[in-house]
Amino acid sequence: YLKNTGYKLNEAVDSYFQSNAGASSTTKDTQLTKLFDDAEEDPKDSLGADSSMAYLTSIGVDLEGASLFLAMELVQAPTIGEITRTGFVNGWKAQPAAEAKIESQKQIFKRLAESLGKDRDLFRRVYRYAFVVGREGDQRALSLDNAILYWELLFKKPGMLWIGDTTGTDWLAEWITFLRENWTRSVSRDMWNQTYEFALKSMADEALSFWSEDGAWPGVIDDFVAWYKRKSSEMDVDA
Amino acid sequence: MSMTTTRPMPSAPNREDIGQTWEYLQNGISKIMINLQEGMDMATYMGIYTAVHNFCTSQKAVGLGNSGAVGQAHRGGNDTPSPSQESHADLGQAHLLGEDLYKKLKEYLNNHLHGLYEQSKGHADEALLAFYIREWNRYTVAAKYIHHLFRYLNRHWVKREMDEGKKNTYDVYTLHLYQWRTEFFTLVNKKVMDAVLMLVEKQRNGETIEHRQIKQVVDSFVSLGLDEHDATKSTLDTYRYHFEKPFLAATEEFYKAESKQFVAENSVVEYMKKAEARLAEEEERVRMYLHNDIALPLKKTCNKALIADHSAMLRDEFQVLLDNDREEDMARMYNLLSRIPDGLEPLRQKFEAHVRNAGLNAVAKVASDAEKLEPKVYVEALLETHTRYQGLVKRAFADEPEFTRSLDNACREFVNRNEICKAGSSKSPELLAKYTDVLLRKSGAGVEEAELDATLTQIMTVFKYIEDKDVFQKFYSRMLARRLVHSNSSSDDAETSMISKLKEACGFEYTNKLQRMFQDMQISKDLNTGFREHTKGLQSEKQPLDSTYSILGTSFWPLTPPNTTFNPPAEIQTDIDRFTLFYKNKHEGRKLSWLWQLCKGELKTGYCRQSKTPFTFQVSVYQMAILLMFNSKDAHSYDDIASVTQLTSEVLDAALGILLKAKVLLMKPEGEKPGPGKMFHLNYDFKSKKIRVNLNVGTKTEQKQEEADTNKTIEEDRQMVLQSAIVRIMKARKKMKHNLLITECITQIRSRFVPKVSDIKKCIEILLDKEYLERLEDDELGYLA
Repeated sequence: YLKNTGYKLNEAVDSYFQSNAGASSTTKDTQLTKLFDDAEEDPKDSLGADSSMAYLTSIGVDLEGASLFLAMELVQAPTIGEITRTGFVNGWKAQPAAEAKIESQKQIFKRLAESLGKDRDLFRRVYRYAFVVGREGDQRALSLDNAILYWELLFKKPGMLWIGDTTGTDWLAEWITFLRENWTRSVSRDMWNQTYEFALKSMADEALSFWSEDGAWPGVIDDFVAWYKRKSSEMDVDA
Repeated sequence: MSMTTTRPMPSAPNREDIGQTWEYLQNGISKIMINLQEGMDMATYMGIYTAVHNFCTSQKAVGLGNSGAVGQAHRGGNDTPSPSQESHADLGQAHLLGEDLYKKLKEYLNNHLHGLYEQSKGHADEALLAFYIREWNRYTVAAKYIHHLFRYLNRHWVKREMDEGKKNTYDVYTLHLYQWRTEFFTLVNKKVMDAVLMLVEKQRNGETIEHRQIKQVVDSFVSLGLDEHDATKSTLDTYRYHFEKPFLAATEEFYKAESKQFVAENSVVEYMKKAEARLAEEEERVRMYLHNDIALPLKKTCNKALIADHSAMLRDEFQVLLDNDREEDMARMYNLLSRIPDGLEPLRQKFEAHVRNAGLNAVAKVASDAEKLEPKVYVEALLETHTRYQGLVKRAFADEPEFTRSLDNACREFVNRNEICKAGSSKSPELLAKYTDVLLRKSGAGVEEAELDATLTQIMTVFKYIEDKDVFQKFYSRMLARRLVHSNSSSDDAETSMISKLKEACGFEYTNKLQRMFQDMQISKDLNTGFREHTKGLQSEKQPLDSTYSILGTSFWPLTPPNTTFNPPAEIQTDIDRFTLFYKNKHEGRKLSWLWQLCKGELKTGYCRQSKTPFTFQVSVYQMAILLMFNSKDAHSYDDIASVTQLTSEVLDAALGILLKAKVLLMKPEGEKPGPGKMFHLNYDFKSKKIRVNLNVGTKTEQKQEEADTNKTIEEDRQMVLQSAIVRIMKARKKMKHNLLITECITQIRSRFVPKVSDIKKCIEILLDKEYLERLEDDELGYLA
């Protein structure tokens, strides 16, 4: 997926616009490029941290919420706080309703952010991108602290809440407690991605009966399930 | 045909008159039927035959009813009809005429049989049996004669009737049988059978009986099996219904009652003997006088009544027999229960559990002090249990494959999971490897070659059950390395034999390194010879050193470089330099690194006052370096020694420790441990009972360390093995379900060790992270090239 969204989608979008809507897209290209250049006093091919933040704030991104990752995904930012020209142009071009104006982008972004909590495909894309954009330097994995921070950002409004559908178990809190107690290593891409899949399942089936020992879950999730089950059975005994 | 009395036969009858003809025939038939033993003369025989013939061919006369017929009648008594008459035969008429005759014969038979039935009422039991058999024999013999006499009827009228598909028309012999069955047999068979069964019961109760009678009854019943649809074929239906069925029923009833009573009064073992005897008896019975067809159902019936109905009781006894090693009785039980379906499975289960417990107990017995447990004692405890129960399987359970499997399962259990292995199953292979080392190491007590090989074979028996074969491999190769480097292996032959045994069990890969180690030693030998030649050629002055070098391929030997720096003494250094040069010359580009910790040597002393003959010290090269320092001075400080030898304090302390303990050196001031500030003096008053003093002894801590190291490398190696197995599988399959991959992984690796699922998972995650694998939809994994 990631690679798909990472490279191929862009190419696909590119070629689509080049072949079909040549004229209009070029105009839009120019407009977007201009808008991009406006964001920095000394235009280069990418925006530095300050300009990026300023731009993001201007289109209504909450820098301390899930919408930050939504924006990062939209413009395919390589790291947090860096926006490239191509990412910017292509990302916005893929939103046909958006005009090359800050005001319009703000509107569109607001709509996207609102749908983030409901549109699971969109959320998954954003969630997965969070791993890519959130890595420090050329690290392969997220540090546990960062991962927990991102989880906390993503799993709250306007993102998707990781809270059980029926009993309202605060899975996110359980998960973080478990990791703080038992996990010392970093968070690999697989662990990151699988955590989301596990989140989806755990909300639908709070007894965790979907989980089985011979399932394909990563070991850390196996351990979490064991930890959680032990914990809840102990609570039962106490009660 | 002999004649005793001759009764004049009535003259030949008028061929056209059925009444007359029949009267004539009846006379003859009765004679055959009742009085055959009196014999029959040829004339009578011919007369009857002719009469039948004539009657059947007299169609013209009756059919046309004209004078011609009368004319022919005058010729009555003529035996053969002229061909012309026959050629004009009206077949339709012959048909009718034959039928009359056939009906008359049938009527006659019925009468006869009714007579028999009436007579039979006067008999019972054995007398009835005798009567039945007598009449049956008489009747069937007669039937054969009459069949021949009526051959003409058979050939023409009967044949035509049958060709036309008329039912209930048989050739004359079959007619006899058929009538016997319907008119007599149906009435008496029950009583006859009762008599038979009574006889059999008598025999079962030990009386002698006339079993020929039963055999004849059986034959008679079988003969009566006429196929309704095709008279030429016979079936066993009649026999089965009238004989087999009641016979089996009676058998079952008899044995039910008998076994019930017997069990109540006797032990299970006695009962098994009884049952065995009974089963043999019944088989003999079939052979003696029963039809073979009954063999199988009879066996089944007996098995059910004698075994299956008591199987629960038998199985309960099995544990008792096992506990008391009652081999013969177990064999008996095996034989009995193997006769009934699914009879043995419960035994196998009990057997397996029993063997497992026996193994666990054997281990528990020797495990009281796990720390000091001798490998030999442990392995022998395992082996003893195995040998004992393997013998039992062989002798009592006929080496049955399923029992062997139960034995294997049990052994695998107690070999890998017992009190010694509480911490982990790696203890068994470790001890086994150690025991092998003890066997293969040179020892004082010389062991016979053959005996040694037998013991090695036994080792392999245990090895077969070891799950963590990789652990054994690790320990074995370390110990082999030690044996080879220290050249204290008991014999090359034994070593080779053991390696080939392992190769046979686990394949080339498993023993590859072991074999290479062996080869290295061989090459080293040649190399040393070459080196010696070389140094002789140098003609250098006196050679202070008689040196041997072993060149060991780094990747094959489980050896690590020394964990200390070392400055070899000058005496050695020159020789080492010379060898290095020599070797570099031979093999350009190879790098030699010295494993000092494995080097050793001998030093001759010349300073001891107490002894006339000089002592020889067997020392490690570290000790050698220390001792050689005393050639120049009688006392050295700790720091001197340390700076000259460059040994780290840990290694130095250990080396000095042994020299001090043996009192080769004396430490001043005296204290617990060597250390900075101490002085070491050569002890001129050294004493020893032996001329050769071995100072090169390892310490406990070294051994412990090595064990720990080995176990650590095992863990690392396992991860590599797992990862490469996963990659190999995925490379071949490209895509695979997660749990199938795990299963496949276990299958592939099981011959080396039994991997834990969580470990496999961990390796999968590592590979996911390294992007060798990717997650696909639905628990599937994909291979990324």
